[in-house]
This record gives sequence, C-alpha cells and structure tokens, in this order.
Amino acid sequence: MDYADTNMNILVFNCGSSSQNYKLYQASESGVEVLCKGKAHRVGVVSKEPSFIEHDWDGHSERLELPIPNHAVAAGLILDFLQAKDFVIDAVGHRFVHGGSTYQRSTLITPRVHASLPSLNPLAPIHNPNSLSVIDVCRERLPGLPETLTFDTAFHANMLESAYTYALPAEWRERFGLRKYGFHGLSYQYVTRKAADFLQRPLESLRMVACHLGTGGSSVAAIQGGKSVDTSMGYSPLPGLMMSTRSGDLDAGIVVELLKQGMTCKAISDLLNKRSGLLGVSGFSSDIRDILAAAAKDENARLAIDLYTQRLRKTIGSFITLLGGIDVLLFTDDIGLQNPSVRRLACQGLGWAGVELDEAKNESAALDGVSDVSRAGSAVRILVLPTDEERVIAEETLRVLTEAAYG
Amino acid sequence: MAEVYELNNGAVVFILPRGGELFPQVLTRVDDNALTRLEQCAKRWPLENSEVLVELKASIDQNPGKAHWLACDTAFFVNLPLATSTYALPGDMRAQGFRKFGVNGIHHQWAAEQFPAAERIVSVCLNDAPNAAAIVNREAVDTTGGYSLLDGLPGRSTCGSIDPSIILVLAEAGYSAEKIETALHQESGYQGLTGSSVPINELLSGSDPATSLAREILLHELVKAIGAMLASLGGAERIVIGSEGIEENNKFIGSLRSHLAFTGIPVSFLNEERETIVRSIHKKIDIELTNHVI
Repeated sequence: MDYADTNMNILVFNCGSSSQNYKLYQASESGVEVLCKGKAHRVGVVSKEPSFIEHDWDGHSERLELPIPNHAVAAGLILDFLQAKDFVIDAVGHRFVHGGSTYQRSTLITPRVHASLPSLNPLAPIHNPNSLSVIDVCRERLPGLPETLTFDTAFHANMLESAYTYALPAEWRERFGLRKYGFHGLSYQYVTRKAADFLQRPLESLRMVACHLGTGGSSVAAIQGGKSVDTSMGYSPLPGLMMSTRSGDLDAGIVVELLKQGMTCKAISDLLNKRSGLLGVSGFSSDIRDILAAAAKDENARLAIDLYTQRLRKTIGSFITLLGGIDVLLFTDDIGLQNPSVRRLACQGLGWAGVELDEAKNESAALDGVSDVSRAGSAVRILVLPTDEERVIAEETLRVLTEAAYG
Repeated sequence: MAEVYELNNGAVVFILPRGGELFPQVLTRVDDNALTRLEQCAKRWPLENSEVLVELKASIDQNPGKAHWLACDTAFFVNLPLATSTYALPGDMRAQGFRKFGVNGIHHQWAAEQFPAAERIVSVCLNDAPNAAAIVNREAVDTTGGYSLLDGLPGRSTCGSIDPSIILVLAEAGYSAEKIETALHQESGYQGLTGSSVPINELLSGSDPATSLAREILLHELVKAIGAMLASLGGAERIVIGSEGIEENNKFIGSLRSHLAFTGIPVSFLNEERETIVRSIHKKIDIELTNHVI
C-alpha cells in the first residue's frame, strides 16, 4: 500500500481494562467515516454474566456470547469477523494509554518502537500490556500492514516543568520517571476541537477547562489554545478527582501509615483503585446513577455525591485561576454527558468566575451532539458533548502514515 | 526543635502541630490527661509531634512551678464539614481517623480576625508549610492541609500532594515505609527541587535561576489552591496572604496578585511575626489563669 494514499480503511483498537472497542474507518479526502464498529465486553472477567462481543455494520448488528479470556482473543475474534465479512483493512491504529517520557506524539510501530513497548508496562500495568498483546495479534494476523500508536499521555507532553514536576528528591524522580503525565488526551484533543468548531472561534484563542467524567476514570484538564497546561491525573490515573472506585487525591501520609501497619502494596493498590471512590464512600455502588437515586434517603450516598461534586468543583476552580479566567467549560464522557445533576452541582458556586448554568438547558442537553447549557450572558460558555477517542486515533493514524510517506 | 513561647506571666506555650480530634480546642492546660493524649498524637504523627512531646516533658521537669500550655495548630479545622474533611475511602478506613485536619490553624484564625467585616475569606499562609484555608464568618470550612503535614502544597522539605501510586512504586522497589516517610517529610519539597534547605521567605525573596523552578511550582500550586478555596466558598470578599519576612513589593507576591486580578476580589497582604500571632492568644491564657488556675 502507498502510505501517501489518503483513501484507506483504518482499523482502530481501543483497549479498556475489561473491554475491547474497535472501529473500522474509511478515510478519504473528506475525512473519516465508520464502516463497522463493535465491542467485546467482560474481557478476562470471571462472573455469572457471560462475556460477549457485538458488531454493528451497515445497518446490521450481531451479538455473540462466548468466552473471551483476554484481549488477544478479543482482537482475534474481531479480525475473524471483519475478514469473514470481507472488510479490507489497510492500516491499524492502537490506543496506548501510557507513552511515558519516550513517546510525546503518535508514532508508526517500527521494529525499534515495538521492542521498546514492554519497558512502558510498569507505567500502566493493566492497560499497556493489553494493548501490546493486541498489537502482537495484528502483527501475526496482518503481517506487513502499517500499525500506529496513539498515546493518552501525549496531549499533556508539553506541560511546563512547573506543572509536571513533583517536589520529590531528584534521585527518585530520575530513577523512576516520577512526574505528572496526565491521561484522557485523545478525548481532550477531540472535545476541544469540537467545541471550537461549535463556537466558531479559533482553538488558539480559547482558554478551556475540560471535564472528562467516565464510568471508569475521570479527570479535568486546563487547556490554553488547544494545549494542556495542567491536568488532575498524575504519574498514574489514580490521583485527582474522586472516581467510581478510585480514591483520587489522598495524603501520602495515609499511604505510608498503611504500609507501616503491614498492608502489602497489592492490598493498598486494590484499596485505592478498586474499593474507594464512589463505591467506598457510598458502601453500595460504584454507579453514580444508583447513588444519585439513593441520595434523598441514604446518608452515605449523600456524602458520596457531596464529595464527588465538591472535589470536581474545586478542581475546576483551581484550573480557572491557573488560566486567569476561562472562556469555555466542557463536560464529556458518560457521567459528564448523562448526568445533569452532576453538572449542576459542579457549576454551583463558580459565579465568581463567570460560570452561570441554565438549568433548563442543562436538563435537556443532547446525548449525540454539542449542547450549550450556559445562561444567556454567562461569561463562560458551558458545553456538553460526547467524546470520540477512536476518531482521534484514526485521524492520527492517517497523519502519521502521510508524514511517513512524505518524510 | 519544638516551637515554644514563654509569656510575660510565666506560662510556657508549646505549639502542637497536629492534634487531630484529640485536641479540639486551641488551648489546653497541660496535665496528665493532656500528656496521654499528646503521646497518642506523637505516635500517630511522629515526624510532626515527637519533638513537642520530648521537649514539653523536659520543660515540665525543669520548671515544675510554671504553667504549661499546648496551643494546637489544627484545632481551627476540627469542625470542617464532612464534604471537605473526608477522603474518598471506604468506611473501615475512614473509621481509623483518616481525615483532613488542616495546618496553621492559629495563623488562619488570627488572619480572619483582622478582617471582621468579610464574611468569606481565602487565607493563605506563606510559611515553610504553605497552605490555604477557606473561612466563613471566622470559621474554617475548607483547607489544602490534610491528614499529615504531607498533603496540600509542597513545603520547605515536605512533598505536598503527590500521586499515591508513587509511594507504592517506591515500596515495591524495596524502600521501607520509614525511609519513605522520612524522605517525604525531610528531603522533598523545595529542598528536593533545589538540593538545599532554604526557608520559604528566602526562597521567594531570591532570584537565583537555580531555584526558579521551585518558585514557579509554588506560584503554580498557590494559584490553584486559591482557586480551589474560592470554588469551595462560592466566591469570597477577600483573599488574605499572610507571611513572615516577605516584603509586599516582592516579585513573587506581584505575580500572585496579577494571576488573581481577573477575579476582582481584593487581595490583602499581612506581614507579621509568628511570635506576635501566637502572643495574640496570650490574653486568653491570662483570663484562664486568673479565673481557674492560680
């Protein structure tokens, strides 16, 4: 295949911790369009509920229950399906969560790049190995096909040293690569451009705070002229906002005390990543919809909502002062898109920064497009929109291949 | 060295950095019960409180006739609302007493008293453990300070808020909990960034390029902390920056002011000696001495 040809089909793989999304795009001069998409659910999860895989293409859909023990198997099933349906694949783009300091932009997978990937596994011990196993399946099944990597961390790679440096001894920072990396970069890249298009203003002129509130992970980013200035996640996706099962920010002294009490690293990691956050505080659910529904009568549910929205509001406030005021406040991903009450509580008390929500517009925000939910006259435009990480991967793949062709 | 003041009436006041729920009032006359509680606090926060315990006991032995008092620097924050004091941990962990207790309560209480007309204040304490507090009608409602002295902004040698995963990376690499604890308290912060231990007021008054990253980080974190406190309060009538030994025309203070200008909220600068602030509670001790003790 000629890399310079912009007419091509790009298969995008987006590995979650227990899911595997894919989309096959047809790229042309006019942009990228989805030909087929699907998702493998409960990958590697042992539960009463069965694993299944679903595909949607050209008005058809298919759902198949079967064991999916790992991401490599999921990728194999997806390739089987696409080949059985005679879809042509010209290139593959992979989401790779953590590029460390090594990868600050999307890249073609050369033998040298491929050899370097295992060294990044410790930075994202769940996501990176999953993606690597999918890459290996593609290399075996589709030999010679160009593959690219697009990193969640790359969007934040140009943060200033004052934003990414932890105040730790230099020896530890250097030896372990300890710095703030930040995540959800593909999502931020997508929603900031989409918002600028919607407002018909150049991205370069806008100061934005973007809230990516997902059912798994959530973060906030301060973005100036389309570039990340700071973000709430850190070296790992644990710190920052309170999340479904992650604690978010936590005093280092508490972690040290748990170690001194004899808890193992594994037990502490499970506590902070899997048993804390909304689940830990509510005591009954990691799903914010359940907790919102119970808040009127359950004290722990109320505390969970108060904590979640208070920390979100404070993070937004901290990034507003950092940017010296903002033009746009964005909410995206499942929680950000589907829960008007989370947005209402997050925006409460931000009037000093010109953030004024229109409650009626907020309640009726669309799930499939951009909605402006700010009050007429609000200095800050509050936008709600779905994200599309796979589209960014497809566009990045096209860009990387075009650059590879023309040097 | 513990922070100790001897007052004109002969009373000796030890500042207790962390008292948690065991010292809910600012001033406590030292008796056996108070010493027992202090021992518990020293066990819980050894690097913050151990010196106070040792030096207080020595002082009582040497000066048995003098009244000894503890002035607790977290008492101002003991009644924080649950939504700001709680870490997002499961109930069994919260039941262990892990919550935010704040820092420099004595300073913030004093700073709020200087502006009795302001309902909502963001108070910044720019000392060796820089931090911010949100205050409504002279009562604390939020703080950047945490359970230990490590949370919040980086300090002279404390790490500030870091990704908790980092502690696990270090532990898995073989460092003991005690080594990590000591390094995060005594070898991190601006010392970890610059390689030398310099008081914050000197760091902020200096212009050495070798320490500019440390100043930039403090400015970055301080601007964010003030924004977080403003969001917590829903706005404020005044932002109060308190320091000891930093001039108001300092370049750093100028940068801080210009970052906040867009809010339109007046920024006041207080430059006061710590001793004067601590002595402002002197009168309260005098009253108690007259009424109850002697």
